[in-house]
Amino acid sequence: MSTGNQTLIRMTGLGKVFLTDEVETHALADVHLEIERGEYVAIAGPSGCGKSTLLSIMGLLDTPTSGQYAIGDSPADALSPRERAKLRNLTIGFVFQNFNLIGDLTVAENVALPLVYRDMRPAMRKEWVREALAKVGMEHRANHFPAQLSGGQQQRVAVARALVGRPLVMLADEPTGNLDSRNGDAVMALLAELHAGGATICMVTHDPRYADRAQRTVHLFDGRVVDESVAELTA
Amino acid sequence: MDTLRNDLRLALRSLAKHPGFAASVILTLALGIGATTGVFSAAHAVLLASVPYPDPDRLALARRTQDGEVGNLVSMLDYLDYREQAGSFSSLATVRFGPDRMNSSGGTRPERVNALTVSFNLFSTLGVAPVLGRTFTAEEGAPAPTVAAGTRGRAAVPPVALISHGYWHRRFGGVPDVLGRTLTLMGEPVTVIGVMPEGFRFLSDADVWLPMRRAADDERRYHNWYVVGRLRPGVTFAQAQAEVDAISARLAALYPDSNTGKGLHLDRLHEALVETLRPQVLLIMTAVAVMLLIACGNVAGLVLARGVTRRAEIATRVALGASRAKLVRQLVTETVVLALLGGAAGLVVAAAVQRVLPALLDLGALGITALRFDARVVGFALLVSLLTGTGVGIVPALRSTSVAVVEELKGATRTSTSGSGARLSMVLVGAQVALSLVLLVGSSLLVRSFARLVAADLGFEPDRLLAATFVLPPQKYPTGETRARFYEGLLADIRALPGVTAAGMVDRLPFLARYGDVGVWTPERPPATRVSSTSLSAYYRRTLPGYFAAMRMPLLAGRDVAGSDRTGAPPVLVINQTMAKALYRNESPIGRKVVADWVGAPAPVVFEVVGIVADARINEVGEAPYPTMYASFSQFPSARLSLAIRSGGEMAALTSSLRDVVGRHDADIPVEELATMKGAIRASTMAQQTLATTVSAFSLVALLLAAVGLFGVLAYQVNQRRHEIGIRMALGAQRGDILAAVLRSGLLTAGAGVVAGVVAALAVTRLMSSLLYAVAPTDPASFVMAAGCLLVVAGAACLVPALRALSVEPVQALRYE
Ligand SMILES: Nc1ncnc2c1ncn2[C@@H]1O[C@H](COP(=O)(O)OP(=O)(O)O)[C@@H](O)[C@H]1O
Ligand SMILES: [Mg+2]
Repeated sequence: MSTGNQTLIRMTGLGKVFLTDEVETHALADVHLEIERGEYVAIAGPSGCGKSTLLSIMGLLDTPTSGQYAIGDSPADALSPRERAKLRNLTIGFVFQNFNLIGDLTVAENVALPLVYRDMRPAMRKEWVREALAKVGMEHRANHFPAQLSGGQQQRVAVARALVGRPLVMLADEPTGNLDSRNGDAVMALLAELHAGGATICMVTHDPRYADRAQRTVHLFDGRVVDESVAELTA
Repeated sequence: MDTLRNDLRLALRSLAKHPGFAASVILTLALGIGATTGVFSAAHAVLLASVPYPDPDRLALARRTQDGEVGNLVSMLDYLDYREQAGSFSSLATVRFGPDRMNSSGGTRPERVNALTVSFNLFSTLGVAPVLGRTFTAEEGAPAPTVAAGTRGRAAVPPVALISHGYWHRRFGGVPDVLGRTLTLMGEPVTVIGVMPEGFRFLSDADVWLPMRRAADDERRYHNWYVVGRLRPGVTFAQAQAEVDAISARLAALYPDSNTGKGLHLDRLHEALVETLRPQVLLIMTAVAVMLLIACGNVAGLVLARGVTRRAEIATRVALGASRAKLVRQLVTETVVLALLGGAAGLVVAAAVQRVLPALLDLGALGITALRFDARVVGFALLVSLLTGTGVGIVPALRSTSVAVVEELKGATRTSTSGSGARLSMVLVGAQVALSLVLLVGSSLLVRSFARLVAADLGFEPDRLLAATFVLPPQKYPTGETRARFYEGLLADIRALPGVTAAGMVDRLPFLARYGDVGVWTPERPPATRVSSTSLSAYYRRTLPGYFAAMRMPLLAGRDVAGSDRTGAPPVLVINQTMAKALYRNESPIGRKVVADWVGAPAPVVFEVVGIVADARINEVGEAPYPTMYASFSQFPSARLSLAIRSGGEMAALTSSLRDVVGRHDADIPVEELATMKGAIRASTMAQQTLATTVSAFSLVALLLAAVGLFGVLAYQVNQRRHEIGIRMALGAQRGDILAAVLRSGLLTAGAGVVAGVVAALAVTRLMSSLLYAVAPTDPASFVMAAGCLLVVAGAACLVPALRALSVEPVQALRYE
């Protein structure tokens, strides 16, 4: 079995229904999706079509109302909250549209958070944090506070935080949505670089330019997968 | 003026829009300001005001000193000499140490009244005039013409009395023609010459005031009189003191036997009377002020939190051109309005506190029977409200007007911070915790001290012990033998009453009749003079046989006084352990002789010690054992004797059967309601109980406020940090991590407060040591108890916000629209 062809994420017949004030919103319906280890997948579609919901389920932040979801070898249905948190910590790295750094913590402390929740030894933690910051080129800002950074720099820190724990997959929900095009491009370049280094990435975007950077794009409409396109591989 | 009106209008409108916030602030401040105002009115009366008599700064209390130590009472003969010789006083008056309970007959049934003997000039000295009639003339208070002329020498001038306003209404229905009516006191007719104003009181409660007549048997060794003087205008206390010292020296030279080392010490009357009250009032005042501070901290926290939620509003106002000064004024106006509303509501609390305080604190000692709810009280509440409102509003106002306008208006915060006010809120809460810990330690100390006091071994068994006192009219029972025979027969019949398990008689029962001491010595070591300071001083009591058994005071050696110890037989004495040790160290005193400077005896009396009885408390629960001796009543009979009766039955039934028995012996002798020994003891520990309960009450309110403060700040922070909590959960934080983080933040604050509080309490409680019984001001148990109690309450206050943090759904918290 070759490592390049290992299924990391498997969704079968996945559905999500939100119930608010007696109104049912079918955010996802009958989604089948598999992501291989080392793949770079983009999820595209108009606003409100269910992209974020899909990513939340993938990231074990939310649970589907129907269908199955498995990450690695673990089916996600039967997990207790404690196990979900642990699995999330070990396997998932998040990048958010609005960065979501904690303002009271320094850059290094922000990046260290996933390792803190893993009870890693401080020395080792420090080493991993340094490496992660090096990867995004933010080593020199380790002791700054988020408010002292530009938006692009903040997002690079957020990426470092997503990858510091060496997760199986990085999930990014519109990571360029709050950035100008120059900073957006830089972040996309960073993700591409990480992918080239072996990372599995699943990114939500409604910008076709950025979707093209992925190997494969999954198009969602009204909670259903309507199309899949494979990008021409560029060198 | 216009801007103020505008500010007020805005403030009221803004508060009306947040009724929950407004209500909690008003309520908190009402408690704080109200209680402070109530206590202030008592503190004002005690610490700042003066006794309620005209020109009070010229009134002096003159107290006897013995070898430099200040006592209280002066002998009558010494007083008369000072009165005659001291020109510094426009008048010098005296009051007997306590009222006599006198039989008053002539009404529907014999009753007892409080009759206080005073010098004829007491009322003019104090500057108080009667509402009806006149006060005593000098003749009515003149000494008996000769000692030999009679026992009281009352024949010269007809006996007269002044009555109190209350007694006038009780006994005479308040009729205006009361003047000239007759009271029969101890079988003697006395004419009413005047009625004192309502609420008039000096030193003791009295129904009737009688003029002091010089008694034939008075001696300079017997100190039974309070002395109060009014300085002549222009004379200073120092000048008066110098004159009095010179008189004291002359008296000591004239009467070395009784006056060696004796002096008279002058104090401003008010100062002297508040001596014991001052530390109590200061302590309560401190407690209530600390409580107010905590309330302020609490409110400041609320205002601060509200300021953060108003940042956008404030930023908009700034953008529209409001100056910072204008904004600060606007915000402070809001808290001042709140504080004024709180102060207004607090007046109700103040009135309630005013109602209970005079009874709790012994303000009657100052002649104060009720605290007035007057303009001063309202003024004080107003002042405190203004100060509180400004103090509580200014820092949050400065904080929330220093917003970064651009950031704020941009709206989207890219990072999750806990807000600038968070640290300040935590400091405020920590300070509240520290202050309430100080109060809790203080109240724990007082409560433990009181508990030890109540549980103290009295040396006798007070349970189910009842007391009554009888006085025999001297005309009908002129000799000691007739008195002894009367009481012996009565006691035998009382012991036979159904339900009575034991009964005994003594002239002065513990806690009901205090003090009464004489000098004693052994024949081997007679003192140089008869002044008590050179000999041992001992309480003297006279009993009928069986008193110790009735009190359950163990007889340790020898025997009780017996029926055979009568006039003619050698005088016998049962002494307590402390006296035995003081006189004989480790030798057995049984069969040895003790000489006592017996009251009323022309020469010292030689007693034979026949028994040793265990020590018992006489005056105060907390006092050290004092030498005490018990003589045989039959050998030294007095007119007055008290009954101690132990009974399993009901008190009302016992009172009525007791009345029957006494009535069979002599129908003219009144029987009062029985007093319970427990009640007398409770009355004697009243001050300690008052302190323990008031300070505890304030500290519990303080604890509650601090807990609410902690809860509020944490709950608010959890709310503010939902987003951050969401991020942490997305990154793999367990629920336990989140719970622990909130609890840690709360408990660290509380813990820091506790540490600061312990340090502060160690510094402060030392000042309380004089108010504590058998508890050190550093008593570890009290500190542990207070800190433990505080941490448990703090934990509970943190738990709710912590659990609320758990309910954060990361998907919701992280949603970005
Ligand atoms: N917690 C929720 N409760 C109710 N409806 C929700 C909730 N979250 C998302 N939705 C709805 O589900 C649909 C998909 O939302 P989302 O996944 O955020 O879309 P996208 O990220 O593609 O813009 C939308 O119609 C949205 O209103
Ligand atoms: Mg979305």
